[in-house]
Amino acid sequence: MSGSGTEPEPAELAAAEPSEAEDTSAAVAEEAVPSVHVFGIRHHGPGSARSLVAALAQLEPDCVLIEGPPEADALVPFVLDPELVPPVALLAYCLDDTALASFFPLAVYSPEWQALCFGAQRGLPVRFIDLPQIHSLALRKAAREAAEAELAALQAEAEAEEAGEAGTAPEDETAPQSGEADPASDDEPTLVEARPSAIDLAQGDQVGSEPSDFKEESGDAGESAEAAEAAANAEAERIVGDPLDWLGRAAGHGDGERWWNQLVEERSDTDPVDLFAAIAEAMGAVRAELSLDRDPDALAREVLREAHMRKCVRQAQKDGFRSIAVVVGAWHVPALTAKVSAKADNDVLRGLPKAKVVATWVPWTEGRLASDSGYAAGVRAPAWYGFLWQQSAQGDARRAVVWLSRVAGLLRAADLDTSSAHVIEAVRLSETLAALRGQAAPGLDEFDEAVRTIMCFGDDAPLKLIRQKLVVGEALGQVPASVPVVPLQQDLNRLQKSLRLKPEASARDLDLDLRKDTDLSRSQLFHRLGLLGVPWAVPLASGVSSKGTFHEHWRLVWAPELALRLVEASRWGATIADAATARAIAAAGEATSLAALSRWVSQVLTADLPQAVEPVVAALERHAARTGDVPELLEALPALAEVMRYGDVRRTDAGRVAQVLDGLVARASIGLGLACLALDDAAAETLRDRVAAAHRALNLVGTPEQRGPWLDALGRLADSTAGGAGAAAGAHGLLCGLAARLRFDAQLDDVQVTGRRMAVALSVGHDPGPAAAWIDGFLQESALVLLHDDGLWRLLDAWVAGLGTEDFIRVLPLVRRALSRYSGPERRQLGERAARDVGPLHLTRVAVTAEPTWDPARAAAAIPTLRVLLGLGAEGASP
Amino acid sequence: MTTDTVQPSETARTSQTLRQPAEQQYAHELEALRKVDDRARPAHWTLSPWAVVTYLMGGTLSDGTVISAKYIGNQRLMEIAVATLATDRALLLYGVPGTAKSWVAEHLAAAISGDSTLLVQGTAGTSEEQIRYGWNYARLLAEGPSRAALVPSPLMRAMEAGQMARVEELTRVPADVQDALITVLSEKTLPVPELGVEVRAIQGFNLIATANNRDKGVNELSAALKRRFNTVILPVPATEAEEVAIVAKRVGELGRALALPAEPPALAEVRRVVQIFRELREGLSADGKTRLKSPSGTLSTAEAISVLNSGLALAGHFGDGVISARDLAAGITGAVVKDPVQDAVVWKEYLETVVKDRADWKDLYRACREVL
Repeated sequence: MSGSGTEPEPAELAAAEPSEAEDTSAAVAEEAVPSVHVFGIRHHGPGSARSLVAALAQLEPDCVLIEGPPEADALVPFVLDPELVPPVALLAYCLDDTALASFFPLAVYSPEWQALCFGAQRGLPVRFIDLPQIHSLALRKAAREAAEAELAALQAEAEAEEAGEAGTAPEDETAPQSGEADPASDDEPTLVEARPSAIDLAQGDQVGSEPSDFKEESGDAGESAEAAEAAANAEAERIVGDPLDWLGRAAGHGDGERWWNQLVEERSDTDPVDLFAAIAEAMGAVRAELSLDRDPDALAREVLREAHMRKCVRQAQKDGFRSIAVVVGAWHVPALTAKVSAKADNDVLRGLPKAKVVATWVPWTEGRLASDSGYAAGVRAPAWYGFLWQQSAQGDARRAVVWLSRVAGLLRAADLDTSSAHVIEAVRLSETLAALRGQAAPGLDEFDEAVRTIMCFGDDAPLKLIRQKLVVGEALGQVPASVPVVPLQQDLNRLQKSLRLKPEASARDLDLDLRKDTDLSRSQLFHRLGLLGVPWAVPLASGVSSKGTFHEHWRLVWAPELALRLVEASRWGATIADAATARAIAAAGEATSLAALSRWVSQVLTADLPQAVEPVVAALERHAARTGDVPELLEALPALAEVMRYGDVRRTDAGRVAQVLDGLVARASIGLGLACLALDDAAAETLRDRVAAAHRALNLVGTPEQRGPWLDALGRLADSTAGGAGAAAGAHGLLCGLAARLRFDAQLDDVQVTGRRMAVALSVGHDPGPAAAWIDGFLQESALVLLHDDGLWRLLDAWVAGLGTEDFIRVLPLVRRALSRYSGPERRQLGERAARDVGPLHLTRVAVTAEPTWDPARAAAAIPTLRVLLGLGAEGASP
Repeated sequence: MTTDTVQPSETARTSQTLRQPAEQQYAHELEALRKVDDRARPAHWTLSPWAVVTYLMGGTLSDGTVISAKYIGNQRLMEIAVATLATDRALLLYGVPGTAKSWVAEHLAAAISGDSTLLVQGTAGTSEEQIRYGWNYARLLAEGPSRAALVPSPLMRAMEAGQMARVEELTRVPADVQDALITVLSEKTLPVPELGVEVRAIQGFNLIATANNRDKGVNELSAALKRRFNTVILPVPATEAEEVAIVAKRVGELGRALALPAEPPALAEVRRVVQIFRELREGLSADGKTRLKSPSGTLSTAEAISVLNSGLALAGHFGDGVISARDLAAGITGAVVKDPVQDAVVWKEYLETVVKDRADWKDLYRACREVL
């Protein structure tokens, strides 16, 4: 046991060189002396956890100190609650700025979790001894601001001459003061950015693996700088790396995790005394080798954290505990057993900045424990470790058999044939491989290879499934309702229960029928959460839902950081409905475009927030009255039309919206003609889409009073002279063509009128450009309509047929250009149709008039037999 | 094979053979391994599984003997292959043509049984007699069915002797003939109904089959047969450096075996050929800037070896003994252009867009243009 013979002097840190087993017993024997036992563990290591449990049981300490945020001390008793199911995480976040947060994930096989359980079950005092998040988060905040300032300064420089004062904008105001107010922050700018990897650097620490989502919110200005830093740190980390990697390499293995797995996690008979002594010794050696060429920022952080850990150990000694167990990452063991004076540590820790921090338990997922997810202290195979833990807890030695049977079960569930014979052979091969490689038992690598070779016929694809489902896992932890959480989270928990929606880490698709009350409430909940920026459910774009039947399709995936998003959203209100209402009203007040506002109206109505409807619609009215921009008016129409149309299914009050729509349509109709003048090609294309969308919207919900003026406006547009791009002369050809087409489709203009318009638009008097745009707008990228709408087809056909030779040659490229937008098969079908209309028609006529090539008398002879065969009765007698 | 009993004249003759079986070519390595190998051996194996892997992957033994690498690539694959054979499961080596499947199979058999010659070459015309047993018809007519009149297949001989049998190109063999293997693999027995006896395999017998991806669907293995094989897929070399090492080594060896007078090719030429093949295979130039069309052939490492070999022969017999771009041009062109129309376009495009622009490849460009 790497315990330490301790020194009675309370002011000095009790610590000593890693000692042998007899030292420990000596220390235990001397009851008068407080003994400190430091257990160096690997986070999320089932073997470490097993050894730790054994060692703790042997030691029977009266106090347990664990590497973790002291803010969470009050949360310890919850580990006894049967409803707190790992994987869970301790979340510490800054009250004023939820973007500053740290997660400390724990799996059932994490040594820290086992130490927590050990302490809690025996009623021992359990304390977390890492540097308080009050300081960590404050340091991070200061550094972030400094980095932002630095970036802003850089930008300012880059923007050169006139940008001189623009660059010193808002960031600069905060940065210098934070840089100066802070005694510890001379080396700050990079310290914080270094943090995610720096903390986790080397010891594979749990702290601060903040998901990048949060960082993204922490300010756009800092982002590129952060990215650069992160890259640099990744490099540094790779060099320094996981100390296990170094030891693994020293032992002649390719990577540390494989070596460590084999040596510690996957074996069954580890002697805890030996193990912790060996780990302490190894870490001492690695630290001595590596401490010289470390990243200075990482080092600075580590100094702070270890000083605080030592301080806590001293405090525990002062408090009169006789036998103290300290559970920390193996990396810290040499630092905790080193002799450092209390004064030195206190000096280091003096004057750190502070932030308001709250801690709580949140559910975590196995996927987020995996190192692939970007969690620096993650392990490669969370669910595999869970399996190892479970097996050793049950004392089940048939690891290979159970694991490979699970694999077979999974493959069968995925419709891949797997027989028991496969499992038998895979067990044999994995064991032979282990023997060949000189291992006591097969590990994950051997199992994977056996599965690939025997069950998958050398194919790698099924292994990905196994990796996702069995090796990494998809389990989501659970947190009891009694854990202190923000009211918003409580409200969500209540709703989840009443709507029977369990948060799960794996994706689940939901098809809601809005006619049912439960489904309607679910849909409203999802919409409200969407408004609050908590994307638990995302709408699936399925053809059905977009056409707006009463079905909605959602995909549900719960991610741990959503808990933090809820915290963030809780500033809007205490319940989901209140918060969403407040958020919508605030957003509507800030919205600057009519389209955005109309989307808010639609969202507010679909989310069923009646109290928000009034203010949001009012904002829409105000804005609509002010804006004279026809494209913007048009853009707002589809969202409003949607509201009108589906109001009934959703039982929303759409009356106000109808009034707004009235006004919008009237003004859009009046302004349409002007809006189409003097446009360049890109602007015309944008407007074309909006006009078409608005037309569709009006077709859906428009009253005759609304549609009348609109169609008249289209008519005027269709008759106006098509001008070219940017030409002051007239409306853009694209829009004229579109208007002509829309009126033709609405059967307001007959073939003659439309044909005349087409002839005029494409006649000699026009430049090719506008003419091509016109035909483009008219054909509207809709080959299928052209193919099946007989009227349209004949119109086009007649026009082409009526062209003179000269005209035809001139127009050909224009039409060809318009048709070139169609896909190959569509063009072929069009060609076939053209050929059919000329060719087969002709042939049919021939067939009718020509003599039949068969002899009626001989054909008649076969009829009686055919009647019998077809069961029509022998009516050969009747004529 | 025990070398001390071989007559001098016979030794002279074997050294003249075009290509010796692996167990003779590497007899000294096998012998050295046998001496130092003190680990557990499965029944009738001449070496322990560990020693077999060492023989394949190369290394230096405790007595200083250097074992050359037979397979350059992932050691774990070889471990799986050897472990498979140690568990009585048949081994199926699978991969695109020219990825050293047969090569590995031969060396596995040589190292495990000391005999790599028990080989059935799979072809579209392979019959059941070649897999099971045939008859000496003269004797059959004269004496009636007897054991003496029976002509055992290599497979049957391997079963009786407890050795490794090999089946090359298993997927070329017609499906009904393939099925003759099922009983052999599951029951480890080969019935001879004509004599009312059965041949039971003794320990140490196993089967190594090879098959290639490109023939997929030609004579797909039945599910029953597939289940009796452990499949190991041999990949194309992972990196250019790995491929260069393979080609340089093999060309050096083959040159010796064929007694070519030329110098072994300079590493630069090897690199060039390997790079051309890699680029065309992957459809991307080495700098990752130009997308290329791929020809219809596989352009395997084995073909690169043969191109260099023929270049070596040309240089030796018709040139100045040093391999040059001119000697290689014909070989490369022949390897790339398998389809006279399609591949010629691909090759020309490659020459014009990639080869021509490389300053130090001018000689190769001119030589290839001449050939086309």
